[in-house]
Amino acid sequence: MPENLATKLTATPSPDGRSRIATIVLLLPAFLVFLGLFVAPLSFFFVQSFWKASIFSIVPGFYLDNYIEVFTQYSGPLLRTLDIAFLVATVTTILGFLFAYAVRFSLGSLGNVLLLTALTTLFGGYLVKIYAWLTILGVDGILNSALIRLGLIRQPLQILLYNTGAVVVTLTHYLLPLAILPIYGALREVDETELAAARDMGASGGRAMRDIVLPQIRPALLASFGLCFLLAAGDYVTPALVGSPGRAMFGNFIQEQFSLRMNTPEGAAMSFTLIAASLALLCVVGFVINRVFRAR
Amino acid sequence: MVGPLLELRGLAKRYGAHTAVHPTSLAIEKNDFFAILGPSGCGKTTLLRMIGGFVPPSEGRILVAGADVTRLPPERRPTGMVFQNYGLFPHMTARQNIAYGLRLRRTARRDLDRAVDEMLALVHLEAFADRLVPQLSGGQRQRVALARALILKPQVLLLDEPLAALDLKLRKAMHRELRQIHQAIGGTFILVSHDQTEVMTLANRVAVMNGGKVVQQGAPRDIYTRPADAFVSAFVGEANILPANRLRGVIELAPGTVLADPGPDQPVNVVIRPEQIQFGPGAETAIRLQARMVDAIFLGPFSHLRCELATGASLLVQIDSNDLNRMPALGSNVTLGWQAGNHLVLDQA
Repeated sequence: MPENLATKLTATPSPDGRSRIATIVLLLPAFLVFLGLFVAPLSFFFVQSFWKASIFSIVPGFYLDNYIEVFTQYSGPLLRTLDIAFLVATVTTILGFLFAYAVRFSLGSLGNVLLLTALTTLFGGYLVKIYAWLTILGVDGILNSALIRLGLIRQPLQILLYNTGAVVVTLTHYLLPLAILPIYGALREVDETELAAARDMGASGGRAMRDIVLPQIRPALLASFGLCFLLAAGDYVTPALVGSPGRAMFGNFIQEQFSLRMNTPEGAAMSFTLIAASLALLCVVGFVINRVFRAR
Repeated sequence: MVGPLLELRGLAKRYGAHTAVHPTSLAIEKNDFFAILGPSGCGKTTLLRMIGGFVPPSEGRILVAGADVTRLPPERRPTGMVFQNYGLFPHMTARQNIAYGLRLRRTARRDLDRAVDEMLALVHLEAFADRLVPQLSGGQRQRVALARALILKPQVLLLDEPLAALDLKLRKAMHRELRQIHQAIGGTFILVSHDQTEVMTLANRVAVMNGGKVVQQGAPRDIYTRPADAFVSAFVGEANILPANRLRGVIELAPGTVLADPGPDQPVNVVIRPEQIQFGPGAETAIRLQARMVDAIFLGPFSHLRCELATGASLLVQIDSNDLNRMPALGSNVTLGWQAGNHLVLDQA
């Protein structure tokens, strides 16, 4: 087949082939970082979660003891942690949606200012926010002083800090900008004319939101929820600083295994249990969001 | 019915110091195909959006069949709107989009399906009913938007430049279809457009807007033949506008060319349509001008010749394209003329 051979010899690299090489080159650095800093350590700890810690040494092998211990010893903190993270993610996603909706459709140029303000709080850092809540909710804190000044209470309230409520408030405050961003991004894709058209056909504002807006931003709702849920479920600083000492979250126990007890296999097993439980819960939430807000 | 179906009384919209729509009063009769024609930024869309309930008026009232709807939100007005960029719901199929309004009204399943099928047939979309909006072409989307508004049988259908996004051929096909739909189902349509051909094709009554004011209204033909001012004459169709002075009832267009026109001494515009001007030395016309031909533009069935007068003014002359070969060379001197009564004299404001 001389003809074919000639074409092959004279053919310049097709734009398709060239772009494929470019794609590989562009993706390689990120891929290597991902492989080296995420997949490799995670795999290492996954293997280790089946090992066993004995006195001053770690014994490789395949034992399920660590996982059994997670369920016998730590199921309480695990459920509590999923519960708190679920609450935080739900509240944050709802607040984030309302905020993003107002910015996108109601507030005009004021909306952009508010959006920028919300994002600026991300610069402040995580610990700063926790300490801010300590000064707000503390016995000598702003809230107590204000309530006493107003004559609503005589003694400062002790119950504001060091409980699960304080953890939820602090995490919600920390995570809200992260919930706003994906939802706002998705709302920008929703044309205002669609809302006007729905109103024109007889839909109330709330009905238009349910029928037109929510079904279109389902992936973003799940993204916001997932982001907040995972960060809340894995957090151990907030519960340590503003939470109740007797009601620590799962992250505190994992940290304890790695630092105080030097039992990395147990810590790894606890981590993977938390990851698996979180993913399972997110699958359920994703399914529910998809069903509830589907186009009807 | 007594009185107009839709009545605007002194309807105005101001944004701070800027007036988008000056107080405007219009009466639109039942079954009218009414067009609001004007250049972009003239306030025509704001006027339409006030009728639809999307823009709160600064003053004035809107009455539909005698009932005041000025303060009602869009969902409680007997109006339906087709938006310029359609505003279709992209996560729904064509059928779901069309059915949406009836579903809000909790129409029984069987009636709903029948009504949607009728609408799909009316706009020739039966074969595309179950496609999602992103899978539809521009023309198909336009039809879905139309069907979605029509299915609710609004007393007044508002069309906000509905065909602006379509290419010329499709736009012309839609003109035919809109005419047929209006004839088939009746109803009162209000069309906002900047395209005078569209308005001439579709509307039986026209209001021309400029600078936030309705400057003229009437039947399309009356507006074309008797424009109220130089703006209307130039915006509706092509027009040559020759500024001149009236002195003791005589207007001198060029040395030796005068028109008798009684009226006060003042600057005027003499308006003459390109198709009224006759061309060539043999033209037996009352008014004659010497000019130099500077350009010939082929436009299909007819062509335009651009001629320059000694005064520097430029005149567009329309000729049959079959005559294009018999025209003198560019740069030649030619004689132009028209019959008395074909031109219009408008006082300069």
